[in-house]
Order: sequence, then structure tokens, then C-alpha cells
Amino acid sequence: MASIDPLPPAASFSVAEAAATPGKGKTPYRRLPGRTAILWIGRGRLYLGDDHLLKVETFFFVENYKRFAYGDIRSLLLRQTARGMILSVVLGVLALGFGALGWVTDNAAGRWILLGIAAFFAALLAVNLVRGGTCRCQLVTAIGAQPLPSLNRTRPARRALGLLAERITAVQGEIPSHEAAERVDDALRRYSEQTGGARNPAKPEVVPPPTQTPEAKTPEERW
Amino acid sequence: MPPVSFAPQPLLVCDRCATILPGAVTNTFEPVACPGCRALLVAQVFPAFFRPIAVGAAAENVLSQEDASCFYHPAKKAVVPCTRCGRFLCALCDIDLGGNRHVCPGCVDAARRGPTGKQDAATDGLGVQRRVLYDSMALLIAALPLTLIFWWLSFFGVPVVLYLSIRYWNEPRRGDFPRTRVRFVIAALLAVLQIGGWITLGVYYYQRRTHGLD
Ligand SMILES: [Zn+2]
Ligand SMILES: [Zn+2]
Ligand SMILES: [Zn+2]
Repeated sequence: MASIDPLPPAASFSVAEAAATPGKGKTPYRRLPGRTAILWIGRGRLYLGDDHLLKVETFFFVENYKRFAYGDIRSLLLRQTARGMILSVVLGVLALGFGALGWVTDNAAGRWILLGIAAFFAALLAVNLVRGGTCRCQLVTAIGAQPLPSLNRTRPARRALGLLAERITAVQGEIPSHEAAERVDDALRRYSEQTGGARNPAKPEVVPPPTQTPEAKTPEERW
Repeated sequence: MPPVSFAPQPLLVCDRCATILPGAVTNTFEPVACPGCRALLVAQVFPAFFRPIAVGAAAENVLSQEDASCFYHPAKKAVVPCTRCGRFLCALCDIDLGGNRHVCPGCVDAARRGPTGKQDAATDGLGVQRRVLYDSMALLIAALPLTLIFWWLSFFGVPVVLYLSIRYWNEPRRGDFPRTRVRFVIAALLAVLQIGGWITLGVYYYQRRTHGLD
């Protein structure tokens, strides 16, 4: 305990301070695709910084910032969800229902109101279909998993994760796909031995060698 | 969601069913079904994934090249990130604020210099954890009475709007995403307009009472 390095002086902050000199109205951040919006009350956004990912969440009038150094991000996970499909079904049923009601109504004014409501739901359905499939994403650091709620549509989410993966691999380097799979299985095997294999229903499978050579692509293009 | 932190081995976990995922799911860049819940997953692991996770107590020395090390002491093992700037900290640098909040000496120093200091917490680039959008707040409070449903809000709103605009005039220009002060300007104008409205109404009723006007 005696031979402890002295704490660095506050000067170690000067680089960051210099980089963020206020007043120019410019930020060193690049906004990633994807956003959450809950009726203008809550919003979420992701930004790429020089050396870290910034997650900004706004709730009413308070913005919360979380930062993840590219060197600390261990994994990225995207899971496709059925939310978009369910929403399409609900909106489709509503549009058809109001449309049918309008069709059989005798009252001219009532008919136009009902058809208007049907058109409104049909428009929402069209927007939902254009936005594409839904998903949930998270990143994992040594400290835990962090959900990325702004990445909730598969297409922009994959674009965003590709851009993020590019920054991460620029810092950490890259593991070839088949090697990554082997090492993950390795860790899983060791874990199963430690715990008696009770918890995990998934058996490590033999990974086929990659058919194409994904290594030829950049991290961004692969996602 | 089960915590994946502090696992003895680096494991990738499905965020829906908590099944530990096999290598076949990782780095394929094509959706692969989760063996537990059949959800389609795309996962990528990076070299940091295979670093052992440090759970040590009092400032352990870094054992291998691959341990995460303290930002301030490269030879010490990191145990927790700074909640404010995200830097990894060893047990010595970790200042536990309670409530699962940990900060580093640099952030404490930055915070101590305070909102009036030249380099305050909002401008050190790494430091901001939270920003209150006083300008949006002022604009909403100033605009609500104009909807007439909330006309009575004007009584309380006007002083609040003027207070916010003066007290936090410089706030939008700070932080990682500086904004213009246009919201404050519009809010203050609306507030002045409402004061004008109240005065006009007051004069009108006063005259009607004293001069018996209809
Ligand atoms: Zn699953
Ligand atoms: Zn810090
Ligand atoms: Zn330290």
C-alpha cells in the first residue's frame, strides 16, 4: 500500500477541456441513426465521440448523459422483435374496422368522420411498414449490459451498430469471425465445467467455417 | 434482465431469455436464432470481451496484459467505472458516493470548481452527466397561458419565466451540445406581453368602475 503512485494532477483533464472549448457551437460528436420518442416526453439518442460512445436520454426537461469508452465495450447485441408486426396487425384491424363502419353508415357526416379515422390508422400502418422490422439492442461492458433504446428499428440499428463497431475495432483491433466463435464456445465450455453445466441449455455447436470471407469487408459494412 | 457483469467467464447472454449464447451466434452478422427462445440475434464480440473481469477489492495489481487497468494507475486493476466520465478506476481512485455512484478524483476536482468557475462541470467536455433544459421549460411555461385554457397560469408563470431566463441565461451555450438562446428570448417576450395584457385589463376595469363606463 505504501508504494502507490501519486494521483495525477488536474492537468490530466486539460486535453479534454481543450477539445471541448465552449463557444464555437460545434460538437465533436457524430449522431447515429435511430431515435426513441415517447410522445415528446422521453427521447433517446446516440452519438459517436472521439474515444467514446455517448448516450443521451431526455426526460421532460432533463438530459442524462452516459459515456462508454470504445476500449471498454465488450460486445454488441441486436435482437429482432415482433413489436412492429403486432403494431401492423393492430393498426390494420383498426383501419379496416373504421373503414367498414364508415361504409355501412347512412349519415353523410358520420361516414366522412369514420372514413377519416380509418385513413388515419391506414397512414400510421404505412409509416410503420416503411420503417421496417423492430429490434432491441444493447452493449455490454465489464460493468454490465446497457440497453440502447434508440436503436429500435432493425435497418437504422444495424447501420448505427456498424458505425460503432468500426470505432471499437479501430481501438481494440478485430477478432476473425471463426476465432471469435471458437473462443466464445471455449469460455462457455469452461463455464459449464465450473457450474456443472446445469444452467445452460445451449450446447456449444460445431461452427462451420465461414462460407464467404466476411473479413474482407470493413466492420461497418458487415453489420 | 440478468446482470452479465462479474461473470467468471466472458459470456454472451440473450437479453430476452438469459440463455448463454454459443459461438455460433457471434460475429456472423446474419440473424441467428437464440437456442433458448428462438429470437433472432445478431451479436459481435470484441477483444475486450475475453478480458477477465476484475472483481478485486483493494487496488490489486494488474495480473495480465489483458486486465482492464485504472485510468490513473495503469498498473492497478480497474474495479468500477466513474459514473460521471466513464473512466475505469482502481479501488484507490474510486470515490464511492453511495447509491451506486462512483466518481474519479478528476471529476470531483471539476465539480468542486463549481458552476461559477471558469472550467465548470458543464464545460469540461467529459464531465456532463445531466443537463436541465431551462430554456425549453421557460418557453413552455410562457406559451401555455396563450392556449387560454391555462390563462390563470400566467400569474405564476411570468415571474418564473423571467427568473429562469435571467438566472440560466448562459446555460444553453454550455455542454457538449450548445444551443442558441432563442427559446429564452421568445419566452421572455411572451412574458412581457402577458404583463402588458394584465396591465391593460387592470386599467380597463379600474376605469370602468371609477367612471361608470359600460
Ligand atoms: Zn433467448
Ligand atoms: Zn470521472
Ligand atoms: Zn487508480
